[in-house]
Amino acid sequence: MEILDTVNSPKDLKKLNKYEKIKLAEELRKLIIDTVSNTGGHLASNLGVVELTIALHSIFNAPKDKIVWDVGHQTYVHKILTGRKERINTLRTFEGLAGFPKSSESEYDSFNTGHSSTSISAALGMARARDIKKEKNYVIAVIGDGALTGGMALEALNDAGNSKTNLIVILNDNEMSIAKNVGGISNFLTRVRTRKLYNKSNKYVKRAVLRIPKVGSRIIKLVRKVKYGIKQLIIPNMLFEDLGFKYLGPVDGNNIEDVEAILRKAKDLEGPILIHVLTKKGKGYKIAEENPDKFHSTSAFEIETGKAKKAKKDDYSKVFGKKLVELAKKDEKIVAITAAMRDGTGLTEFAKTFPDRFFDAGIAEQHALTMAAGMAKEGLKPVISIYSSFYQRGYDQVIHDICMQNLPVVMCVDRAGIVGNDGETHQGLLDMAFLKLVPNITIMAPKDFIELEQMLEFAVNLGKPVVIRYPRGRRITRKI
Amino acid sequence: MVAKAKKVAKKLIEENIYVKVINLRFVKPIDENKIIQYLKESKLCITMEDGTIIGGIGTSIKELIVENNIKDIKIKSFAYPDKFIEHGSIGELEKKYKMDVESIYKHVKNTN
Repeated sequence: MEILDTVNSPKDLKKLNKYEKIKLAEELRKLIIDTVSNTGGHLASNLGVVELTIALHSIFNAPKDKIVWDVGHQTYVHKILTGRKERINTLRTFEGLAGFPKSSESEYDSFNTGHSSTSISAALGMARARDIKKEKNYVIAVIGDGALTGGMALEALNDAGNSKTNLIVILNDNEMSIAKNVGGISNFLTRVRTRKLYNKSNKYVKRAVLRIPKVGSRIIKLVRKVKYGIKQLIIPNMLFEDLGFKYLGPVDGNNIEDVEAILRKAKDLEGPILIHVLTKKGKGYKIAEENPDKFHSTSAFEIETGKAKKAKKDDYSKVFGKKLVELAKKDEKIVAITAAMRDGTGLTEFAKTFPDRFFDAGIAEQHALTMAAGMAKEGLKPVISIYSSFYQRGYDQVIHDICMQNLPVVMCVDRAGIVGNDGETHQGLLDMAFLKLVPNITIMAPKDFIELEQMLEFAVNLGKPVVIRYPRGRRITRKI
Repeated sequence: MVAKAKKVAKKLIEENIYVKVINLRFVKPIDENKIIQYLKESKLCITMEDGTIIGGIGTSIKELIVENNIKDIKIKSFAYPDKFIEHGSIGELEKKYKMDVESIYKHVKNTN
């Protein structure tokens, strides 16, 4: 008898002992790997949050307590535990379960997400609504460290930290967004992670110096002084504490007991709380642990080998990347920019060939677009590639920073048009309508790969704002 | 979309319906003179785009027809409706929203 058979809602989860929960985690991993190997989807992130999800639903009482999942692609475990395990095999398929939280699908999905960095804002809004309605429930935002590189998450931290509102933010820290994280916040979190190591070495130092007679105690004092100094440097719960959050952690997010203990502690505290949880993306499936970015979002694959069931063909993104490398070899003013989508947008080869002319801005479309504008103003030829649905996040930057100054930024709109299984949050159906009405803009749409190459060459030399929109590579040939 | 348009055209030409496919490389600015010329020569204009029905190229062409007072032409725009489109395979969604070759072909045939 499988433990999972007895779990039909979070209520059943609360009856399990710790050994049963560990067994349940194993069963969930197997189910997720089986499912995603058939349907495709987000694998690594879901494997990472199995224990965290079990702990959340054990300690809190959803749907009364509201859990807001940032990005939302890590909710497969949540879906299975909240009464949808029978339908999990329909994940991401037509008329089946969505790959993201949907209030229309279940009352346990408290807020729809799909794009990054929205959860803290949504959760703060729900917490303030609760206070005004004089209700009593917990509101929890679960956000990855990648999503924390998005400006909106920082805006929300700033506002929430300044409030007295009861709100729990769980920072699910796996050192990854889709690819390895970039930037100062990521470096900051790396320093927080070293806290454990620091504690260990600290004990070791103490033990060592105690063995030295006489001078021992003085050295200990010195070490303590140094330790205090170092503490400011390397135990930096300070960022969050300075923002007004109570900081708890870091805790091993793949240990159910530890996570449950820290969640219980958080329940007793007032005001905004941040819990720092360390998880491992791809946990429990070796091939995904070793290649978390490849298994961030995957098509159907063979479990044994991790290889895709259908061989990948050339697509627009690859053709774009290749052509851009060719153009950049002849023109040193060309630079390439991505918002945490190096591989997805086809820029991997460019990044390798021109590391000094490649910029990954993080999950930060607004910043990436305005940075491109700055580069263009100073005479460079920035080429930026962002998925259609994510241009929605940088609209004013396109209008106010790029087009109003008529700056020569080449804006590639990848994944334009219908994208399929990722559904409504990721469909690229609005870009033509909202970009067309911006003055100074030129918009092109290639019919095949050759036309894309020609358009790209034309665009980098056009000298004003220009958009090239193209879909996910599907049933496209080199020449139509 | 051009590939799809060509498939529709091929099916229609086999039935002796004369079709011209225009590849609209530039969504903005659109090649007004060329398009007006084609519109004047045609009985039916089909626009196809991988985007929402509001404010797309279908809208641009309709504006051209009205503003240039082009008579005796019907127009039908194939695009996604004014709603958030759910998940599913691209093929299934195209079928549901009548963006597949078969649906477009049938429409033209029935209009003629």
